Amino acid sequence: MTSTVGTLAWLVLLAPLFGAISIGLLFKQLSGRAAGALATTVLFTSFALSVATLVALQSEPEESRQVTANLWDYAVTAGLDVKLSLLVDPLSVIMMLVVTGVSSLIHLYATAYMVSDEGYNRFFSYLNLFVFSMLVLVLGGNLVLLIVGWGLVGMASYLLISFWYRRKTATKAGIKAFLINVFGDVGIVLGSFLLLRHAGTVDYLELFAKAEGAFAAHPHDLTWGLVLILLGAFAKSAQFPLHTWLPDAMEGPTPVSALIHAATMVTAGVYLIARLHPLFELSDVAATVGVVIGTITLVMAATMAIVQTDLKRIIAYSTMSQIGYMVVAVSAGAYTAGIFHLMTHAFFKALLFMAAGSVIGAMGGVQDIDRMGGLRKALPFTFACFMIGSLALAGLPPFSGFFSKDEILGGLLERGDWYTIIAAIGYLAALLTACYSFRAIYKVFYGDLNEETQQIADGHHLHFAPANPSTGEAEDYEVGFPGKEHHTAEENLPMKVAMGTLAFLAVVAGLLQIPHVTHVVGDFLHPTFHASELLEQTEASTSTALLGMGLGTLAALLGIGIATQLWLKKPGSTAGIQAKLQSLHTLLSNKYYVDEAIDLIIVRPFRWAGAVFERHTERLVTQTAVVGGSSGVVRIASALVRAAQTGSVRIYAAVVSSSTAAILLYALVVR
Amino acid sequence: MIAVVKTPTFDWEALAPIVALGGGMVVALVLGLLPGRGGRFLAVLSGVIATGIAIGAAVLLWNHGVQREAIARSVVIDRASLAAIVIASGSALTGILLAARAHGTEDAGHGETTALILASAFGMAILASANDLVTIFLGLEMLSIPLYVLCASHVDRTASLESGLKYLILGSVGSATALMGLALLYGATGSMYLPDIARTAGDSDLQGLIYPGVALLIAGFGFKLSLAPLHQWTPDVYDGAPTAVTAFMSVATKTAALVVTARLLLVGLGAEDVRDLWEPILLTLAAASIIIGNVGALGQPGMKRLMGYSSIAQAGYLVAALAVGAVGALLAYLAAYAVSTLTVFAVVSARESERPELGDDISALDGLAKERPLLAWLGTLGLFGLAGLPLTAGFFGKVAVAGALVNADKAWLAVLILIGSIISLAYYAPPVIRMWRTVGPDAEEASDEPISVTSTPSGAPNLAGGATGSAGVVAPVPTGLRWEVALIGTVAAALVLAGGLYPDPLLNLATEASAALFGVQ
Repeated sequence: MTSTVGTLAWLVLLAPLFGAISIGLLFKQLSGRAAGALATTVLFTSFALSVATLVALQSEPEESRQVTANLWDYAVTAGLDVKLSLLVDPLSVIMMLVVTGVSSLIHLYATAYMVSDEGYNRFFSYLNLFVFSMLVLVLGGNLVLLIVGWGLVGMASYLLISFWYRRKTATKAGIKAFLINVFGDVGIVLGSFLLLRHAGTVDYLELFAKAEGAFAAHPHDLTWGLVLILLGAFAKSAQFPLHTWLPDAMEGPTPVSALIHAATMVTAGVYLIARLHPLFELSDVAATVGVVIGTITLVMAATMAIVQTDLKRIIAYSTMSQIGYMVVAVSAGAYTAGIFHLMTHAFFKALLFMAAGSVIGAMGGVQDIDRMGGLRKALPFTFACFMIGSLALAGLPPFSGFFSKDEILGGLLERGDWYTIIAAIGYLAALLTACYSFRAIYKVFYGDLNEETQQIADGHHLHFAPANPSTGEAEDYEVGFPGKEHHTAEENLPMKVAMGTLAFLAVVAGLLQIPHVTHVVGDFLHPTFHASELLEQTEASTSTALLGMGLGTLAALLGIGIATQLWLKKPGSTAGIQAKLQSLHTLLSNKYYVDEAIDLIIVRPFRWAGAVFERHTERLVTQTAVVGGSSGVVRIASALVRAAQTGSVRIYAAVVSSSTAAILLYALVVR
Repeated sequence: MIAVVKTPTFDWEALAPIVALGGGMVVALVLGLLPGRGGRFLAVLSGVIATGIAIGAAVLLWNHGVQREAIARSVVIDRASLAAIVIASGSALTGILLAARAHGTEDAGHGETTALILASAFGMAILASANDLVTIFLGLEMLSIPLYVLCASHVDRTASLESGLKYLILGSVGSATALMGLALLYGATGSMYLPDIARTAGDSDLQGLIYPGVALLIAGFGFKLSLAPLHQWTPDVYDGAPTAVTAFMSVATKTAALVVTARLLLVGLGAEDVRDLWEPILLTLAAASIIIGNVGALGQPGMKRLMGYSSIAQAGYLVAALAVGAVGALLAYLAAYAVSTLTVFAVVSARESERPELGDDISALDGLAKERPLLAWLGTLGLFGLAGLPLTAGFFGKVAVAGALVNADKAWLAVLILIGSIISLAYYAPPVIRMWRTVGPDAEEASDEPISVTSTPSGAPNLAGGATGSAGVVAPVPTGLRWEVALIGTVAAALVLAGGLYPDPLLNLATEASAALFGVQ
């Protein structure tokens, strides 16, 4: 083993794998909350080890803070050397800290939240498996391990979205997520191949070192390779037009939404672009594709969030939108800002989902915000957390989201040129963000209590006959949320601790990186991005920073103001607006018809082609001729061999003798 | 005239593993005579200790890089022979443990069973280290004769007796053929020693004797390796012999025979002209074995019969590597084959004592995952290792063999190996499926035809070619899981997995052993 840093990083990685396997094997023996406790302990251990890795890495001199830890060479052959190696540098360490840190808290939350679920042990085994996969993805030192992690994460996500596997909508959502992600995986594999073809290596550091020379003569291959890789990034990070799986993924249990579909997995695309930044800086086209798609996504998602009535889906769209900001940032060279926003977003978005989970717990599984109202007093802790999360999301100073989002937009302003337009769109979307987050707050927590929420205010949880929240189909307790008992943060200490910690972080994390005051994140990440020229171009000057912060605050306040006007002061006034803008509302609530477009452009033609091939090629040629023919040959041969096996020694001896004679004859005559 | 016989020099240090096996044989035989359980226990214990010492000594010698002539020039201890000794002793250990509390061993006698297994392993060790023609024949017979007896050792089972007799008759043909080949070789070159033979074997005026000699040698050893079309004894003998013996012989015999054949052909007969003779013969036999072994194994109802055919196919893969001189690949695959096979037999043996009414029938594996999850995991690993699926040692073994063939411009055989592996899944997978499938109360589908113990599967062993029943089968009483069987199975399965996760050491060791073989000239 190479170094302390490397050893620690391997241990960080192996801890959740150990948890996943041991819970998986012992699922019958573990009773009560044992599995949850084990999984959470493992995760906290992993987090502690991550901190140790951080300390070890920081004690190295700055120029040697890129450590490759090779466990063993898996396959070293001509033209390819795949090593089981991790790349430990500030970027992967910050990802590792965010992943293990937020995961630990979500595990803690889930130990209480999921306790009535029949699949408690299975849930934690999957959850640990997911964390392991995510760590492989962010720590892997070469493209092959990246692909492995990428695929594993997709699988874990599939397992967790379809966690309630007897619920049709859940399995469908899982399949959809998996298919779209596999589409992206193919992009990454092909893209990696194009990179490997000219650079001759899959190792990141070698790749970066060789890239400029290797691709000088093949700029198009580089561009295509990166665009294909972007396809994978877009699929995993739910960017247009590969985003449609994310809202559906809310079928999974709420801790899953918090962990995978908000804080960690969906940011993989952002990580990937940042990781490969030396390559993206060589290809303007690929970087521009990233900026444009990110921008489209961030606006589109923000508008869709405004008309959603499902609490979790509102947050899901806001996730898409926020990741759009990050993709824009890392594609435009503002790496520090992008990663910083990734981190703060992980805190406040996980917090929002946890708070939403608590609300849903009180509501007995209901996720429709039209049925909620006035819960402020009934669920004070949840309300406080949701409020903090929303303020951070809306980007109001001094909450963390303010500083991180602002650094992105300030960086874009600083780069000038057409990035100014992107920044303007970003501020517009920030306004929308503030607007829809407060719409949710007002509809859920303010206003009058209705018949149902009155019961919650009286100290009861709602209980309904188990049913699928999206279709109303009757179910039993084994299937869906949240088992027989429902859980809120108000009465569960683990949930409170997890949410409280995240709320604290969501408030203060922004202070790490205040323009021209503090730059902890920037300094820390410097070894990874030190060679980047673009990064300097996106460091906002004092005037730009002040302008940006002013604009950001203004947008947030304006958004909150509009929301207050529409949903708090004059609830019901939206109906009039909706009537006037019916076509727009239809467009938005149908999610811009992207699902339908994908269905028309991709699903139907493929289904048609599949049917045709099935009918003609598959049945006749493949099944009958190829499969039937080859297995027929084998079957006949098998019959012959057995027929020869008579059991008679005389025949055996004759065969032995004649075979010997034949060999002898060959030696004597033929040679 | 008094002939003066000069005593050859003995290098006892280098001979330690061989001596341990031979000494263990005597001790086990004597201690086995003690009455009651004590005798049984001591016999088995001495077998375990003897094989343990042999393995330990071989590993030590390996680490010292020993490469020397141990008895005059007749016995050579080098890494190639040490590799064979380790594998043979490991399978002897497995055989002894599987036999220790198996049904029928009591009647055969524990002392005798253990001693015979050790005797055979002793012969294998000599064979693998043999450096002259007489020693080769000596080793071959020392290996074979105890096996004939062992196959027949369950005297109250007709199948066992048949198996032993059949092996004896056909084995004698094989031995005689090999002996004739050795004689011709001596006649042609006038020397017993392989390095001396190597010097003269290329002479073109000797071809008249050398060529038929080589042909007969290949036929003789091809028989021991169960290469098609000399394979027919294999399924019958494997099927009839006690499971412990089958496990032992399927691995150890092949190992010793392969190493000695490699030594003979590559060291003694490696001259270009001669090589041009034996290479196509071996390639043809390998191809025939791959085809016949794989298609023959399809649909066999008994695990031992299935493994018999499977071992024919595996011998084909191994000999393919030998034919192109890729001893490193050969040994790597051999090691993978050994641990996988031993794992499978451990599971078969464990099931036999738990479900004696089914014996080694494939249906004994039904629902194994529920009853004995450990055994199901072992069986799965072992069978997947044989099929060469990734994450098992077998995968890298096959990759090494296929790579060697492609490098030697014999890609067609690599393709055939691939096709063979595809077919092999059709018989390796069904037992695994049976283990893991949950069998409901009404799951007796059409495919689960009730199999009675007395039904004779197609091509069942039978001496005269006529119909035989299996009269006289007294169903033994089921026993629980024998821990020693589970233990040895777990060790073997762990090796299967280790080789699949971290193949480097396996491949490196194989390369070292291969280098040693060519080092002594």
